[in-house]
Amino acid sequence: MKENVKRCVKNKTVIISLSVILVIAVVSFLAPVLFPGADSAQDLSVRLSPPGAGHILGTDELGRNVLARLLYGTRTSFLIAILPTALAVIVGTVFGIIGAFFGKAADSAVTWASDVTLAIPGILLAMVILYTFGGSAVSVFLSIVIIEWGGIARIVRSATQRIAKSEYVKAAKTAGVGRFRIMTRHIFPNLVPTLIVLFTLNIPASVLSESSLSFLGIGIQPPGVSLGLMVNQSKQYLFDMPWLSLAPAGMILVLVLAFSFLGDALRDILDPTMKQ
Amino acid sequence: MWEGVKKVIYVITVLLGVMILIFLMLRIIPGDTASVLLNDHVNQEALARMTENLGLDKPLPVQFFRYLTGVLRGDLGQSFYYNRPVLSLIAEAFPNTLLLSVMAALFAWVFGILAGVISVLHNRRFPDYLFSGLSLLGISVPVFMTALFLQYIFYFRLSLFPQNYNGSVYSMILPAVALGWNSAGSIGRLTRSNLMEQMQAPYIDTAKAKGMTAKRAVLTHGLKNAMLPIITMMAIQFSGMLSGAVITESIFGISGIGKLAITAVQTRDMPLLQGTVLFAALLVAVGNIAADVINRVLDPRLKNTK
Repeated sequence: MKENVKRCVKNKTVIISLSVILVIAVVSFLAPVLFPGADSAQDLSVRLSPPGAGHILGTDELGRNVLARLLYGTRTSFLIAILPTALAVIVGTVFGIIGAFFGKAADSAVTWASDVTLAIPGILLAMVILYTFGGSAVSVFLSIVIIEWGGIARIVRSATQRIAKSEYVKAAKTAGVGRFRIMTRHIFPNLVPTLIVLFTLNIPASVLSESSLSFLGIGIQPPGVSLGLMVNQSKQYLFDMPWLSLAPAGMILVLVLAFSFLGDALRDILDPTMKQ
Repeated sequence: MWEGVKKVIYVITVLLGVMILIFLMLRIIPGDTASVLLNDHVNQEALARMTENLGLDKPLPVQFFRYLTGVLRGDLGQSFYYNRPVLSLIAEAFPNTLLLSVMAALFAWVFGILAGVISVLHNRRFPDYLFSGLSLLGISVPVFMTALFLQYIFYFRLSLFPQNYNGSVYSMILPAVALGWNSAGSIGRLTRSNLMEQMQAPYIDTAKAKGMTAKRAVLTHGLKNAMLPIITMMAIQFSGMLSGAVITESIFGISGIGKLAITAVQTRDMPLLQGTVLFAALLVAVGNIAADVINRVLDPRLKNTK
């Protein structure tokens, strides 16, 4: 474990991408302090003003400060990316371990259930959820969990099976260690690196899901602010004022790239077998 | 042969699961389903008629059985919004989605494989960095960004293409590139890493010893061997491509399956949403089976395994 942390600290990609993520996180979470209330404050006298001295990124169609909204939107995207991904990893891990550890029937059931959710294209699955619960942060949250748990469960299942076949687990079994103890003491700690990688690598997908749904107008609803929703709202000014779309789109890209680089680097350090 | 039959049976059970899942998810709306379905413009008579129509007053298993037997007879129900059978709406929309996906897949194949091959042939030189960068950008950019970017450059700035789909194949080029960009990126990366691996394989040495140049050896032997995982990946990505098609269709005004689904959500048209999602899942399932078959035909090693 210590060895792994050391290798991560020494890795340039990890350090750079992690710094980018931390800076964006800190600044966007300070948004309410830096620009109190500016996510919704309208000033129609300065509507659609180009980037300049007063407003670094200009203002939108209601005269709202685009920079302030960008930070508020980033905060939403951050939360919607990280929290449901974490929950998806937890759910996927529980079912992945159940599939690997509780006999053939449980294994088939978990595989089948994950195949069912994976058979429905993610956005359409989300649309079914949004239809029922309405467009809101909670619906987007739920959608991401349901879209992602299946793929995670599959990988956790095969990782658990691999660990369960290892010599030390066989030794522990021979020594008469109970099932539960084998799982908590011998298998789970060895799953942790895989889980960290899975978590990081699924965050870009969550960012993309959230922004796509909000872009379509069925995710986060106004007066909420999200990066995808900002692109959607500025779409009609795309040709005359492309910077309005460019700011949130660029932020989405930076977030996705930073988390992808971090995930790839962590995978190479922590769990090279996952590359398959 | 037996394995194939087993696989098909399994896929059918998965589709049954999809039906149950969508059916239940669309019916856990709290309160009286019919009144929620009809939104605000509730009219007692319409409400009673719909309850009767959908059998909403019957217990859930009975409702599901009715739905299932309907689907097996090719009856996906009646769209509330269009007031037409869902199946005929899908049949009308599907050719557009099919054209979009086929053109996008074609672009992804050609551009992805080309990028991968060029990267390998110019390993660690400028073209490699250029195409590796483009591939990375491909997998990181959301579809709607690519689409808007293409519209801005090729319609607004250069006026080479129309902004929206107008029925011609030419106007489908921008949407197809927007949708295929993602897959092109991952195919490019996969081709590159696979070819790199193939370069180390002993048969490349043999080919070289026989007087072939390394480049030719990679192109003739390596590429063929690198193809299998790419086919598998295309099948895996097919589902993602349908997701992307929803967004692409909404941006370029293409009346396809995705547009139907969006309309269904916006107009609260439950049978239409249920039908389009089920149809999409069916497409994914067929795609999976097709990839499996192609892999078995192309890879003789798989013949005697599961």
